[in-house]
Amino acid sequence: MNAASIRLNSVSKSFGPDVHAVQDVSLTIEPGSLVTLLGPSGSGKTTILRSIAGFEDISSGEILIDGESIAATPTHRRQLGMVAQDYALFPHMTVRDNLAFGIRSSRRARRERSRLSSGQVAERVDRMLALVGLDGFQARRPQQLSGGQKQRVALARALVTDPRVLLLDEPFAALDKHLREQLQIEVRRIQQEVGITTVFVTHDQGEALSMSDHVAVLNRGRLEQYATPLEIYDEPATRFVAEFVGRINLLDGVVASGNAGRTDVVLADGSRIALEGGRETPAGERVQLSVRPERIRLTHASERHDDGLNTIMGVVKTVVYLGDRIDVTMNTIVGEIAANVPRDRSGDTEFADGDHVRIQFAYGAGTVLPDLLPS
Amino acid sequence: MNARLKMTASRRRLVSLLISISPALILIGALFLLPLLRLIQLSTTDAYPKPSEVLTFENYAEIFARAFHLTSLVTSLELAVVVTVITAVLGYPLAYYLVRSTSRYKALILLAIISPLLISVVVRSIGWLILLGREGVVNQLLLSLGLVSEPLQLLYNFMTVVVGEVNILMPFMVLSLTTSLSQIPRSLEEGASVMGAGAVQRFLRVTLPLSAPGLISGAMLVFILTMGSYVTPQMLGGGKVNVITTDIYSRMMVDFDWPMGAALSVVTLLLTLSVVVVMSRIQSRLMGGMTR
Repeated sequence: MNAASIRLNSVSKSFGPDVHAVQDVSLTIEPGSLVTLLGPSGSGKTTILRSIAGFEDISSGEILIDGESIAATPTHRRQLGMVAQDYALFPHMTVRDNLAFGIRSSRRARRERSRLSSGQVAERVDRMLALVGLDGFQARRPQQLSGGQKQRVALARALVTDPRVLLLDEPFAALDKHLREQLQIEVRRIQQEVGITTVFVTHDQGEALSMSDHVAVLNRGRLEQYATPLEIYDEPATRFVAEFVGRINLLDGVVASGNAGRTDVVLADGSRIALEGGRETPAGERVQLSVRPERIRLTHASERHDDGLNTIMGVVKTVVYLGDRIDVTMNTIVGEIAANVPRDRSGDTEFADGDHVRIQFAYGAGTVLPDLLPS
Repeated sequence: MNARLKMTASRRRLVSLLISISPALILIGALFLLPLLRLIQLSTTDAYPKPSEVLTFENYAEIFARAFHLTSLVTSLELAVVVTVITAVLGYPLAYYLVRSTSRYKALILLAIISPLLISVVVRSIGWLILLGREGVVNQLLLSLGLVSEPLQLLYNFMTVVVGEVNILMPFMVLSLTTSLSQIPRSLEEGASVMGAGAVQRFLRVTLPLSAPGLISGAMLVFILTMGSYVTPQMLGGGKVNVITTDIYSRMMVDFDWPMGAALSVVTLLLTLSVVVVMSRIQSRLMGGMTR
């Protein structure tokens, strides 16, 4: 399998004078890795994917595959595989013919595989269908397949031509939750097994975090952050990333003292919060303190408590049971705070509306974001 | 109990269906089926209005014995086939453009395609007479450019009739093609090109097969309408292009040989019908393959 690297150099795409779909995006995708373009609709993620595929021409910048600009190469010579959102299976062909289409049609394929007998084509088709767990479906038509089966056929069809790059355009959007999760794991397994460089477009942050080697978070055509899923989640670079990926509490504050390794932030009510790690921020800067709901420890105000944690007092506003965990929203003097805490049987974690609670999080549990919003 | 409820429900539906379609049924029965039966009956007599024989196949025998009638039948078929092929070949790119283009002139182009339907066939044929006549615009242009030394005979031949028919029937082909083409998601063509198919492969293996149902219904419409057209061959053929419709008209209105005209009509009907049956068989096989 020939895994290629992809490089975007200040790629921009405008539709007309006013619509800037993609603005100055640069990133490198390592051979064999899976990179997710994550963002809300209109963030430019699909435009980037379509530009790599060659369905759109970029306005400026360049896209390189294996170090070579693909600007002059038409789509059908780019040696790509793609799974579209609607799978784009050919309704007038059987599953077998859908897969054989790519083997038979490309010029490269016709040159290199001119000696391939129909038996050998069938063998490749069978092998690929077995890889996606659909051996025995060769003679079916797309209309006779379920959503998940169509998706697998589309994946097999994208891989059967031995492409340099695999493009996935929201391939799970049309599936129900259970099937989606199952196929996410499977697609990732196959991608790693085949070792193909993959660009994956989604607006689902959970999908992005669970499947990717790297995530590129896009917003209004701009690249907000390009990092591993862990970094995206734990150290969001911007307020947009913090809010778009997972849930997060953002509290306004001013840096009181910032040394390497430890930052003290004063919140609106004058209380002090200490944080460890993260980037260094000079004293006096307006910032936003971010804490994930699941990093919060919640106890009743009357109970004894641990010191050595940041503490904010609050009053419970809503409680939602999620089975093994509970979502609790609280009013505090510095704003609303959401917590997601595990439930135990002891009753210590039973909270009701109006309860006075102690909201605590460790020094290393929060991060400081530059205050980007005009307040 | 359940089956009974179902029965009454379906029976009620049948009754309301019959009531709602009965005006149309009566209209078709009285104005189409009865005259058709009368026509068939007429074709087996030897004279009208006072036949001496009421069941004879003389007329049919004569059609296949006389070269004149056979020639007009063959000319009609040729005309229908040529016009169908030309409208398909010219109409396909047009329909494709209309479906895929995002141009703001799309509506204008569609209007231009439909415009022939807005004008009477007679007026349109006169338009062609003015354009193509000996003193017509085309000949004057050729003469003034010195390309020809004397006016060309552009009117009153087979090709003139073809041009006139294509002009009138193009909208039927384009409209049924656009209906079919607009149901093909763009992602199928994009998918084909990602898989390595160039423009020709894409067209032959994806777009054309998927639009075949529209192509065939367009072809059926154009074929039927050409077989039945009278004004265009009459005016642009100038009596030199004998097709089955002009033949029937002459038999009935010039010779007053109504039984002969009726027999010719029946033969034409059967011919057209059999072509249409074959085409719709092909069409339903294609559609069946896609939806099954």
